[in-house]
Amino acid sequence: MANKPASRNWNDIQLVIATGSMAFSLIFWNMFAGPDREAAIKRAQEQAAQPPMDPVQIVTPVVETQPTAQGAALPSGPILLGGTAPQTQIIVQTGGGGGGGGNNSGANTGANTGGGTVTSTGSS
Amino acid sequence: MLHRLPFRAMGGEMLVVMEGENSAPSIIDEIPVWFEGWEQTLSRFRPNSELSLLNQTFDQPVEVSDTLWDVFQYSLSAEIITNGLVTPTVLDAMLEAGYDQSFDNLPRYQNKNESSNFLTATHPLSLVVWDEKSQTICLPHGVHLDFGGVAKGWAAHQTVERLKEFGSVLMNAAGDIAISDSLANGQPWQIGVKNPFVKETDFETLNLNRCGVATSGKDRRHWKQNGLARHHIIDPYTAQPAQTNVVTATIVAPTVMEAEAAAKAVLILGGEEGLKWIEADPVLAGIIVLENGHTFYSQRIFEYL
Repeated sequence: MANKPASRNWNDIQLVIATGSMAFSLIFWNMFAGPDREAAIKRAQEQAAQPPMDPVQIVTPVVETQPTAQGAALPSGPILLGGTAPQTQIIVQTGGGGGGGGNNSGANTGANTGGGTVTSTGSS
Repeated sequence: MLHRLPFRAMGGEMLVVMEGENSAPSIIDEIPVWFEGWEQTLSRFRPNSELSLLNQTFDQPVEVSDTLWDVFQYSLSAEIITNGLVTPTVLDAMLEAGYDQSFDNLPRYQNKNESSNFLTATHPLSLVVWDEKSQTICLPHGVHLDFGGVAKGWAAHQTVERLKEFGSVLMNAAGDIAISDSLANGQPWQIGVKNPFVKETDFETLNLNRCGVATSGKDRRHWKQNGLARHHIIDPYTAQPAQTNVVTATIVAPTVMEAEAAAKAVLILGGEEGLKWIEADPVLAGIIVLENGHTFYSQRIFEYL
């Protein structure tokens, strides 16, 4: 004799209710989301028609200073007087760096042979 | 024409150059005598000098000569303009580092027992009590003075002040140079800047009128103590020879005393900080040679090149 088909249990009922709820939510979502999406598309089209932003108005990211490491000693050197930062800083190679010549057109002019100089200054 | 008188004093080579007629004024022969007198007053290497006697007296005012008083006042100024980096109270630290006699006699390799009174900083000059009216200086216990380069610069300045009525004059006191004025034809004096890496050569020429120029460096007066490299420029904040990437600093300033103090400060500060410090002071210009061979030129130095 064939087995009697099992009656629908409580799990099946829960599944049906959940599926129905999701379908109901999606329907309502689309009903109310639809007009906003159209408005958003409309706003995007309006912005695209506007002239581009002034290039000077550059938004710079905010840079936060790094917190001092806990326990790190504060600089113990002298507090320097304020002033404008150096604007000229030419670096040339002298004998010690293994390089000769240099970028400064004035360097070594006549001086290496002592031409013209009355005396010299050097560490004593 | 230019009259030259080289001589040796204060542990270094001196040179006076005067512009004048065919014969040099007789006063030029007196200059070594002046230096001898100043050295007898200001030298820490002479046990009977006025400075040495002052350094042995504590907690009581000592009346000092005009020379010592004047140099002391310039030392105060030097300490102020360098934010305490240049001070004559480094003598104990200098001795601790091994510089306890004239450099000509100083052993280049020294072995020294660990000192029990290890210095961590020098005393500020503000601890010293002085009175202008009585011209007295009172050293607190444990404070000793060494005028070092300030004395050389001061001597160069004094020489130029005394001789300038005879014509344009230049005094080079072991690298600290005072210049009274431009030459009679309006041309500047041409001063070489020594290359610390190649002996007896200059790597730059400065064209200078009335001013002072001085070079401070660790390329000449250096030695080893217990295997450690030592030199004579003491950082008063550590009481040790300055840890610096600068080999020499050459500074042009209104007076040679200012130039000497600034050059020493730049050496202690290091290349980058030293350059900023020069640029921040509108009366200073300089050339800084680093250990790696790079050379920093301050903005205003190009007025003299």
